[in-house]
Amino acid sequence: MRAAAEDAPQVHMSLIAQLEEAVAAGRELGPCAWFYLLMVMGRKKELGGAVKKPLIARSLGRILLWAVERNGKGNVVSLKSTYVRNAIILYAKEHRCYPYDGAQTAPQAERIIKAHMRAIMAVVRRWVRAAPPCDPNNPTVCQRHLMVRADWLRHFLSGWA
Amino acid sequence: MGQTQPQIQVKHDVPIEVKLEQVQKLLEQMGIRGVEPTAATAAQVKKMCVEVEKRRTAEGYLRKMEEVMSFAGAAPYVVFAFETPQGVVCIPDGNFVVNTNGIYYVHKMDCRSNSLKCAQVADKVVDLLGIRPLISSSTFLAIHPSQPELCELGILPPTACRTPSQKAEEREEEEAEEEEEEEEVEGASAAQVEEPLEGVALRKLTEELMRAQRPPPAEEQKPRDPKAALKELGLGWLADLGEADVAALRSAAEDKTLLNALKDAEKRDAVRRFIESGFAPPAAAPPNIARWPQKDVELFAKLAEGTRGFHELVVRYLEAEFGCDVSIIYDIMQDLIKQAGGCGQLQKMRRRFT
Repeated sequence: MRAAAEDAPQVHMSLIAQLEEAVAAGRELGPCAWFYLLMVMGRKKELGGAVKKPLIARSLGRILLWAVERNGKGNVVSLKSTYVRNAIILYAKEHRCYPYDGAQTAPQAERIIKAHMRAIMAVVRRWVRAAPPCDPNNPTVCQRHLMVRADWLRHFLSGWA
Repeated sequence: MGQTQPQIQVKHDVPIEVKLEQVQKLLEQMGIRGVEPTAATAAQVKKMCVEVEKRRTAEGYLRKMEEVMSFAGAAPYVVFAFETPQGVVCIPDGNFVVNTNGIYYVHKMDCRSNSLKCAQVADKVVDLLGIRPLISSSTFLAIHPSQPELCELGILPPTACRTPSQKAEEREEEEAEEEEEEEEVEGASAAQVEEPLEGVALRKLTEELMRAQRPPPAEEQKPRDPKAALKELGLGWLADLGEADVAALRSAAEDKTLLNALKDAEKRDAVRRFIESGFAPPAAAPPNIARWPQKDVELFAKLAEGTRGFHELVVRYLEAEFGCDVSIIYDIMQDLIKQAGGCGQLQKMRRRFT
């Protein structure tokens, strides 16, 4: 019996593959799922593979869209790492995602997010390159400071995030 | 300048002995002739040279100079005096002349016609004397007042050649680099990430995924005869109100608030409308409530429970937010708006307060 069970084909999908499939199928994940995904990006072994850029972009898109919609002030958003990091943490706090479900501060979580900022900022920089210049007279400054027009970002992210 | 004290070194590595021959050689190399050294006292040099800059805090350096001059009877460096239309600019600058007995070997050059050449000589002399840290850009500009030309020849340091916009851009670049570096450092410290926290996050993510994959709960079976079900509840008179969700009605009836509410005519109408709408959520619920933060959804549900209208909801919200009798807030708001001269003036008023 045991041998037969072992011989049976293993239909096991890795967590990351399941996630990708769920996103592709348009299944609505809870708001905290996006935050958790950014938290566990480094755990390739447990996830069963690396988190690919489109999935990071999707998570980050959801979070930043929330952040931009929440703060209606200003025409231009500077997507610097500090802004993005704060947006992620604030999103987790507001949605009461672990570990912010019981505490207002979680230095450990912040450290993990900081550790993943390089991959996150790579996605952000790609968006900025795709964005129209925030100031037509000075496009290089927009690129350098990762500045994009808020209305464009809202439109861009709400299209797919 | 024939004194030989090679062992003694002063601050900024100014060599004690600068041979006059070296200066002569330099001038020859640059095609300048007729510049002969003349001896001058400290007072004479001070009188002759204009002070381009204020005295810098190089007291230790000056003390050393005094020591050397007292010991050797001459300055450890030669003085180059460039005659410009604005006055005589010296290298080293007049404020580095020390008050002691001894002589300076002064090389006078007429720079009224060819000031650029003089600036080049000054540049070489600065290198020869090894006093670059003591000489600032303003000294060179006093000899030849054309910054672009001096920049082009590399006489002025790159920092003095930047335009304000370039400086601003450079600062921005530096900031960006710093930020990148910070990220790198942060990334490096990621080696010690908190495993338990990530583990829990991983478990939570799995839970979220399972929830998303779970098929939606099957709708409760409607009884075959809704009227009979209503009668069971003692609400047979409600049966003619249309297609009511009996399950929802049952749970509402179990809650005493509904039965109590039915005693009041106004409330009964509200219940009627609620049932007629097919148990639609209250109109105040925004369409994208699903995307709201959880705590806001909870707060909304808590506040909206049993409210008769939007006004009551707002009142409840304000009470929850400020923790006081909301009628006062309304009064204060009205007073403020009146004082400001209308809602349009509120921004101005806020600016005045902050």
